[in-house]
Amino acid sequence: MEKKSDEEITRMVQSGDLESFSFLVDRYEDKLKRYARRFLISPEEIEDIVQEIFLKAYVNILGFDTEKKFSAWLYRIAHNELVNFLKKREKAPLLFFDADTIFPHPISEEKTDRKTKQDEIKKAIDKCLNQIPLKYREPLILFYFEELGYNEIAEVMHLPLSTVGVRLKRGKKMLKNLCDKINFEYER
Amino acid sequence: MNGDKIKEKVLEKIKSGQVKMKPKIYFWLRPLLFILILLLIFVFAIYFLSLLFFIFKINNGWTLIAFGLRGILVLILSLPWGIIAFVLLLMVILETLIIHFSPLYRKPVLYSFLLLLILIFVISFCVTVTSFHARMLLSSRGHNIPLIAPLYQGYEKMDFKNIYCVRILSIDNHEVTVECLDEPTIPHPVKIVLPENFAKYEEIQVGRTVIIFGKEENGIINLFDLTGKNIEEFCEHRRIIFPRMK
Repeated sequence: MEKKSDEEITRMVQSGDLESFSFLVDRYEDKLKRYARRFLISPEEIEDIVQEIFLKAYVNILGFDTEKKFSAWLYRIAHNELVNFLKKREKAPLLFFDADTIFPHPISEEKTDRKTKQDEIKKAIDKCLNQIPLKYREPLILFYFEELGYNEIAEVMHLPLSTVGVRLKRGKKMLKNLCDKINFEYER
Repeated sequence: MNGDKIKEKVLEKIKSGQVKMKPKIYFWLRPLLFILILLLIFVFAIYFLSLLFFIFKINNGWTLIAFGLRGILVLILSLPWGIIAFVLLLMVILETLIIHFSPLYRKPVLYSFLLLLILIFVISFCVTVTSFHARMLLSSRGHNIPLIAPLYQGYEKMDFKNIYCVRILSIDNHEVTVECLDEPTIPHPVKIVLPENFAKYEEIQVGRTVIIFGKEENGIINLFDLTGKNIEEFCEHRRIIFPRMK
């Protein structure tokens, strides 16, 4: 089972092998908890949310197209759960369109950045993360911690590809400014 | 361990049947219903935008451009803003719905909105070319069809303020006497005072019909401008609507 891909296991669950779902839980529970921890503090809330994400995934598993990537699909559920939870808690206003999704932006993938500065950025994110607005925080987490590509982040957050690039760029800039304020070494 | 707790709880709920997979048909029906709603809103948007074009067409709104900026202002003020606002609302709703589809949310909203705008405009224009709205208008006159009749009858006449179709009866220096052909509230006959710098004397001939742009006060119309162009088309529609039209 360990050698099987997520998509193969999902196919087994879809065909009635309910036990196989536990392998997906094994593979993703730490990742999802780590992901949720970036937005929530209370361990109980994190546990509840992660449990809810898995249950939602199970309930909707017949709607998953096994030709696509399971991780992106699961993170999409996680994203929705977290956004809804935070919106409910913070009573955030409902926005139809975010300004940076309206206009096109040039895409500049940060391939070299990812390899060379990943550790530095991870430390910076850990230090200043809570002060970055959610819409910039999430792409940073998905890119640097969950190691999702631009395409997958676009899929998870339902955003234009160019907006993912813009949010990552702006998020990093905010991160740098915040780190400068607290004299934390970052990209010097 | 916490992780085990999550796994245990999830599996327990699955095994006990507390949570069940949604059937495959649900994932077929949901997008189908979504597409149906989308199509319905799309058709509504086309219907109302083509109605807007139709209203503009039968009223010959372009004629007012002959009166320059003031004419354009009258035209803008007389547009059916209720329909325009409704079409815009439908388009915003459509846009919020279509960006749920994978190829569309991956592109900037501006692109999908422009695509939607072009599509709706082109189809609406094609509908306007057909006799669809004309037939609807005619049937709304004869029958009291709910929703349709008030819609067509309420919007078929654009209220061009201070614009009248008149026939010239006599000319005396700066005063011209005319009979108003399309506005029952204007005295019959009525005098027109020409402006100081009036330069279109060749348009003023006894017996001729012209479109005038002027403000009526105490039974006299102070003329801003007049045009003899597009008379037939402009007055044809008003002939249908106004009983006074000869």
